Amino acid sequence: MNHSALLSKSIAFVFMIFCTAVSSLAFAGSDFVAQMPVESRGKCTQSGDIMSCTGSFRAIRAQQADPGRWANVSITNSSSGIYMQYSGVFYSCAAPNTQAWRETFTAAISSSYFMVSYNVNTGICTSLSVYDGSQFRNLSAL
Amino acid sequence: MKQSALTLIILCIGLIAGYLVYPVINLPPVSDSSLNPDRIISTQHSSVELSEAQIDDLAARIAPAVAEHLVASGALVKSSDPQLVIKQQETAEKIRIEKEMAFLQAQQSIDEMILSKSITEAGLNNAIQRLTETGQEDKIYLLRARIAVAVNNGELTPKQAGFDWADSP
Repeated sequence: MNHSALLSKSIAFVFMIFCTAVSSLAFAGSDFVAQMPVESRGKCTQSGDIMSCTGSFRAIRAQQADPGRWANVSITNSSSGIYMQYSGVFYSCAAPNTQAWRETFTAAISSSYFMVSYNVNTGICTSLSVYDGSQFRNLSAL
Repeated sequence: MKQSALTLIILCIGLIAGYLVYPVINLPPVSDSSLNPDRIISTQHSSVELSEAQIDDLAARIAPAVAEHLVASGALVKSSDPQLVIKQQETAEKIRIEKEMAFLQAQQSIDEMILSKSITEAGLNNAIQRLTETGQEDKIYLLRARIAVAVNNGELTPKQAGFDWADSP
C-alpha cells in the first residue's frame, strides 16, 4: 500500500468520525425536544377561578413554539412567587412566607416540571407540585 | 506455729486498721452552696393575670391541656377584677384595630400605585414596613398577590409592576 492511499484512507476515517459526532449531537438535540412531556413546555389553563400553570425551566427555554414564553421563580425573605408568560399573557401568584412554600419553589427550579395553581381573583398560589422521574431524562438540569 | 501466730496478728492489725479508716474514707462530700440541690432545682415563679376570655383565646392557640396546666399551676391567674379585664380587652382591641388599619393602609398604597401604573420599590418597601412594624410579616405576600392580580388582569405591565426581568427572561 503506497503513502497516498494510506493518507486518503486516514482522512476518510477521520471525516467519518467527525460526521458521526456531528450527527449524534444533532440527534441528541431532537431527541431531547421529542422526549419533553407536554407539561414541561409551559402551559396555563383556567378552570373556574383556578389557573394552573405547568412547565420546567429547561423545557420552556428549549421549546421554539412560543419565543416569548418564560418562567421565573422569586423567593425572598418575606414571600415567594412564580411568574410565567405564555402566549403573550402574564400569569403570576404569590405564596405565604412559609418554609414549605419556599422549599417547594426551590425544588421547582430544578424539577422535570412543576405545576402551580392559583386563585385568579386573589393572586394567591393555592398549590405547587414538583415532578421528576427517570423517564424525564435530561429535563431536570437547569 | 510461729508463722501462724504472725499471720493472725497481721490479720488482726488489718481488721483494726480497717475499722478505724472506714469512717475517714467515707466522709460526706464537702458541701458547696452553689451546688446545693435545692438551689439547682429552684425556679423563679411568676404569674400573669388574664381574663377568662383571654385564657380561652390562649387555649385556642396552644394545646388546651397546656393552658389547663398553666392555670392549674398558677402561672395563669383568672382575673376577678372586672376593671383589669376591661382594660385588657380594650388593649387587645386597640392592637387589633391598629394592625387592621396598618394592613388597610399598606393595601391602599399598593392600590394607589396600581392606579398610577407604577409600583415603585420605595412604595412597596413602605407598605411592607407598615406590616413589619405591626408584626404582620406573614401578610406581606398578600400585597404581592394584589400586584400579581393587577398584572395578570392587564391593569399593569410586568415592567410597571417592577418586574424588570420580565423583558429578558
